[in-house]
Amino acid sequence: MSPYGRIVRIVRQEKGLEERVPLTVLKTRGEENPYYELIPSGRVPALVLDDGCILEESGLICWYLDHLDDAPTLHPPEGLEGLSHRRIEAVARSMLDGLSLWGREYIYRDKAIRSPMILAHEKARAERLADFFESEVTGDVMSGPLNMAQITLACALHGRPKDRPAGYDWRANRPNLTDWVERIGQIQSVVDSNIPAELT
Amino acid sequence: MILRSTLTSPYGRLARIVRQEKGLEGRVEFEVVTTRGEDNPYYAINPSGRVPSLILDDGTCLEDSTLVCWYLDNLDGVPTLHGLTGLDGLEHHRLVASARSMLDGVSLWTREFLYREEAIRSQTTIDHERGRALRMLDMFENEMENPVLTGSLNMAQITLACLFASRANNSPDGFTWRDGRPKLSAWVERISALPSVVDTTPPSRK
Repeated sequence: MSPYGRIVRIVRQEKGLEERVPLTVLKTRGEENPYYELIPSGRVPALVLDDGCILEESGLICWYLDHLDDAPTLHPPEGLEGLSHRRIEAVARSMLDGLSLWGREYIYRDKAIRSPMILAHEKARAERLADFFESEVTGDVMSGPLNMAQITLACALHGRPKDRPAGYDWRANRPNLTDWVERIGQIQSVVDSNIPAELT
Repeated sequence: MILRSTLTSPYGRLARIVRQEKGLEGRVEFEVVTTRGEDNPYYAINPSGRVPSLILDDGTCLEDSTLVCWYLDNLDGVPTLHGLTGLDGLEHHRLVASARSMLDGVSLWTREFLYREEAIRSQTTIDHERGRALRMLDMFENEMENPVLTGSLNMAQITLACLFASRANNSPDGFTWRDGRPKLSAWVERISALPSVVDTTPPSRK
């Protein structure tokens, strides 16, 4: 399951929406994938509402699911009051995007067409951002009640095999971050979403 | 406050348009930076190295165009570009998400050429992104009468402007976005006349 799908899956579980929002596992990619009829972008996750309206982008879907019961708990408050949460969530997402791009250089490409420049660029970015979070995980946003910033970072790092992508050892010399990921890994929704959905 | 971006990033362009639309040029300086490179001093300002970024008066750094645009729109306490609050804003947010999704795909497609010599390009990636872009063109052609896109300026419209304004037909190769899409073409003509869109045109396209 894509880490972006995992973010949605965690929110769905945290909000107790498993019954109201059935989960379907899909294949993306491929030329005539019937999924494209439903979702022209072909992206996952996507949410089909009761009225047939389709939402894409994990950020929007999570926002929607959190607001369904009119009592959002995972998103920052409206207005500038929510700024520090938004700021840190943006960095976590930036990190996830970079790691995904880096990983895709391996997953979707033969060695012959990998770009050493891109590999080096994304690795350097991922190291800087791991340093950022090494100090940030002890701050209020990351150590308070579960929220979108925490869920996003969890999906970036939790369950990530060592040396994936090659050369990425985010734990090295980062005791706070290592500890944080271990602790967040004990939350039930984080545990459950780590199992491939088709096996649950 | 300092907004930083390259002159070519469509994501930076989103923030630059909002800055201008909200009349913030006096309050928010704009500084051109370069991304990439090993010892780029920009990384000390924004660790991810991405643009746009916004440094606030207290030194806090915000990154991500979505956040920077939101912040600039909320600065005066009267956000005008982000749709209605709560679930009433859903239709706007839906179109922003799809526009961004399309922008992300076209950017990835473009980067296959921009940052890679021919020998290491992936035809699979190019085909996949072209397929996505063409399907989404049809989707947006059918959305051109949606009140979100015909009403007052908002992030959905600004995002589509950053995707299409001043884009040559068939750029990237195979992205013949004008062909067979008269409503979208006409809509892009109209939005391209906005001063904030004109003023933020990437240099190579001027």
